[in-house]
Amino acid sequence: MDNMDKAGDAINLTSAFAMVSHDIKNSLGILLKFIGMLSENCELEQCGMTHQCADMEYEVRRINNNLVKLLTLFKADEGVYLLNVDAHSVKDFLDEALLEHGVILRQKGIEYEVECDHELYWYFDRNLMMGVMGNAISNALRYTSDRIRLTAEASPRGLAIGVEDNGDGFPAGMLERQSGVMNPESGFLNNNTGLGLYFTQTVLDLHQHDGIRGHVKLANHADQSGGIFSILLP
Amino acid sequence: MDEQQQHLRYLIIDDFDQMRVSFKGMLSCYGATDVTTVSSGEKALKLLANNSYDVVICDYNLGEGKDGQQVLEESRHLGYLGHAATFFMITAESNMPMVMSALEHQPDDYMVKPINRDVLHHRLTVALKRKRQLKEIDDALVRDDKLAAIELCRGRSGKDLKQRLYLAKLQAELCLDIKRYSEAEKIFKEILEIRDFPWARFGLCKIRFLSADYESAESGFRELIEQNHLYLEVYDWLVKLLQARDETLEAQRLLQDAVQLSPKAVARQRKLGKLAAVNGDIDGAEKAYQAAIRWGRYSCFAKAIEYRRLAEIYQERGSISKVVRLLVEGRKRFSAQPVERIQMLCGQALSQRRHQGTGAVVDDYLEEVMRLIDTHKKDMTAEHLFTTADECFQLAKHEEAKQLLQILLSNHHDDDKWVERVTELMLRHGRENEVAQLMTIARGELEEIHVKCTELLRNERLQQAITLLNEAIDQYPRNRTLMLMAAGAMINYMHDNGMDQGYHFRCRYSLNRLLERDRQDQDAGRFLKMLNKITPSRVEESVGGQYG
Repeated sequence: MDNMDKAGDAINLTSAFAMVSHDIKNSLGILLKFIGMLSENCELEQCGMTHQCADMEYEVRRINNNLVKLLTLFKADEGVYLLNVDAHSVKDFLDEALLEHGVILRQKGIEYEVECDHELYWYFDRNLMMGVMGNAISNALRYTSDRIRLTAEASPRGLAIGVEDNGDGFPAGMLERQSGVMNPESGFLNNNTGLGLYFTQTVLDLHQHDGIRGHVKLANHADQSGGIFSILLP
Repeated sequence: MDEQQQHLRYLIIDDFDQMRVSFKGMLSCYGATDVTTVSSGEKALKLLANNSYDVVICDYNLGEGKDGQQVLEESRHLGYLGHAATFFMITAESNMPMVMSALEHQPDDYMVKPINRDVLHHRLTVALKRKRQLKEIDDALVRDDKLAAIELCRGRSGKDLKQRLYLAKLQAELCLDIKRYSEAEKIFKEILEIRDFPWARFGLCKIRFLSADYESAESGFRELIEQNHLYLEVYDWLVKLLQARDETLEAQRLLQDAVQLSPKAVARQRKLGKLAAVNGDIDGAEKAYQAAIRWGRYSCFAKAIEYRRLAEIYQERGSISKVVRLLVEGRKRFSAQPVERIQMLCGQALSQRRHQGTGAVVDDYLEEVMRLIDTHKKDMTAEHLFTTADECFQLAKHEEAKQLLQILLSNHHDDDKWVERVTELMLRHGRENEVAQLMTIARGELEEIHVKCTELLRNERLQQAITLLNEAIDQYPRNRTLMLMAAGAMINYMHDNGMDQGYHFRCRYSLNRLLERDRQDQDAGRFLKMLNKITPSRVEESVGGQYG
C-alpha cells in the first residue's frame, strides 16, 4: 500500500482498471477452489449436479481467461510486458493446457488426444502461450460434440499448433472476417472471438523472431465436421 | 502420484486459510501424507530451519511480512533449503519482477493461479524429474565446487533443449564467477545467436564492466533497463559502474528507482542510505536506513551498520532518546550474530560515554566486545577489526585497540593499503611511535613461517610445507600471502603427483575467497587458471548449434 498515497491524485482509469482486475482475479481464484471442492464432492456422492458444477467451472474459468487477456493486452500496450522466453517441452505444455480443463473434460465426457513428438522443444513464454491455449481450448470445449485434439509440429517457419474439435465448425461469416482481426474498423473486435484472436496475434507478435511474424488462422475440416484453430509460433 | 512422490515431505506457505486447505487437499488426494502448512514467511523459515522438506510450495504474496521471494532467498542463503529441495512459487500473475532475479534466486518453477490438482500434479512430476536429472550438478554447487559443476554442465550437453539451455546459462554464470570471461562470453554470444535472451545480453554487459569497458557496459545496462524496467539486478550493476566513475548522484537516483519497485530488499536499501549520505542527502539516507531496518527486522540480511548510521543521523539532530532506543533494539536484534553485535556494543559504549561519561557500563560493553572477537576471530573482516579498533581508541581503550590491530596486521601484513590505514589510524590517535612495534610482531611471525617453508621446499619436502602453510592459514585465515603460497605449493604437488581431492578443495576454496575479495587479483586468477589446467577436463567443444 506504500505507493497508494503517492498515486493518490495521479490515479486514472487505466490504473484503476488494472487494480480492480487483479482483485477480481484473486476472487476468481478462490471461487475456482470452492467450485473444485464442490465438483469433487459431487463426483464422490454422485449427486446429479456434476454437469452444473462443470458448467459453473467453465464459466468462471472463462471470466478468468478473459481477464488474463485484458491484463496482458494492457501491459503489452503500455510496453511493460516482460517476455519470459525459455525452452519448453511442447508435449508437456499441451498436456498441461488440457489438464487446466481436466474437471470439465471428465465431467462432460469429452475425449481428448495430444498429437506431438515427445522430443519436440520450442522457445516461448509459457504463461503467455498458456493464455492463448486456454482461450482456444475453452472455445473448442464450448462447440465440440465429444472430441478435442491438440496437434503440434515443427516447421522451418515456426511451431504449428492446432486445436481441433468435432462440432459444427466456425460459421462462414467468421471465417471470412478473420483477416480483419488487426483492423479495428472491421467491427470484428466487437465479439469475443475477435478479442481472442486479437489477443493471440498480440502474443504471437511478442514472440517475433528473425523477422518472422506468427499468425493465427481459423478453418473448418474439409472432410468431417468441426473447426480448427491453428497458430504458427516463430 | 507415484509412490516416490507420496513419500515426500511437503511444506505449503500461504496466508489464506482456504488456499492452504485446498493445496493440502490436492496433495493428499494424490496420496501425499506428510504435508505441513504455514501461514507466514517468518513461521515458514522457522520450520525450514528445523526440518527438511522435499517440496516447498510458497505463495509469492504473503501479506504483511516477508514475501515468497524473501523466503526463498533467505532459506537458500541460510542453507535451510539444499539444492535438493524443489521450490515452487505461486503467483497471481505471470509477470513478476522476480522472474528477472539472479539464477540462484529463482525457484524451480512458477505456477500461476488458479491451479487445479491435475496441473499441480503434472508440474510436480515434471519438476521432480528435472531435479533428479540435475542432481550431480546440484551436489557440486552445494559443495561450492564450481569447477566440477562447470565440467558437469559441459558433459550434460546431450539432454533435451530445455536442459541444454539451462546448463549453458549455468555454465556461463559460473565461468563469470571464476573469471573465465572468454568462456562465459563465448556461451552468451552463442545463446544470443538463437534468441535475444535479456539474461545473455546482461551477461555480456557484466563481462564488459568487469573488463573495465565502462562505456559500452553502461549503454548495455541502460538498454536492458529501458526494455525491462523490472530487471532489478541490472540496476545494481549499473550502480556499481556509476560508483566506479564517482557519479554518485546518478547512482543514488537509479537506486531510488529500484527501491521503489521492490522496497523489501534490505541490502539495496542499505546501499541507498550510504549513497544518499555520500551525496549529503541526510533525509534520503534516514529514509533508506529506516527502511533497511524495517525490512531487515526478521531478515537474515540485516546488518548492524544501518542501525549505527541511523543512530549517527539521530545524534546529529540531537534526538538522543531515539539514539538510545535504536541502539538497544539493535543489540537485542543481533544477540545471535557476534560480528554484528560487536558493532552495536561499540555504538552503545560510544553513546554512553558521550552522554554520561565513562564508567562501569562502558567497561562491560568493551569486555563483551573483546570476548566475542576472541572467539569469532575468523568471522571478523579487516574492515570490522579496523572500525572496532578506531572506536576503542575513541573510548580511550588503547590496549584493546592495539590488540585488534595486531590481529588485522597478522592477516594483512602484505597489503600496503591496510598497513597504510593502520599507520594513519595510529597517527590520528597519537600512537605513531607504536606502529613499528605492531608491524614487527606481525611481520616477524609470518617471516618465521616463510623461512621454515622455504627450507622445507629447498629439501623437496613439499607435503610438509603444505601442512605447515595450511596450519598457518587456520591461524590467520585471511592472509593473502599464506593463501597464495599454499595454493602454489598444492598446485605444484598435484601437477607432479596427480589429483588430490583434499588439496584441490582447499586450493579452490582459498582462491575463490581471494577472488571474492578482489576480482582483479591477478595472482589468484593466475593460480586458478593453473588449477583449472591440472583439473582433468574435456576438450573444449563448441556448444553452438545445440539449441536450435
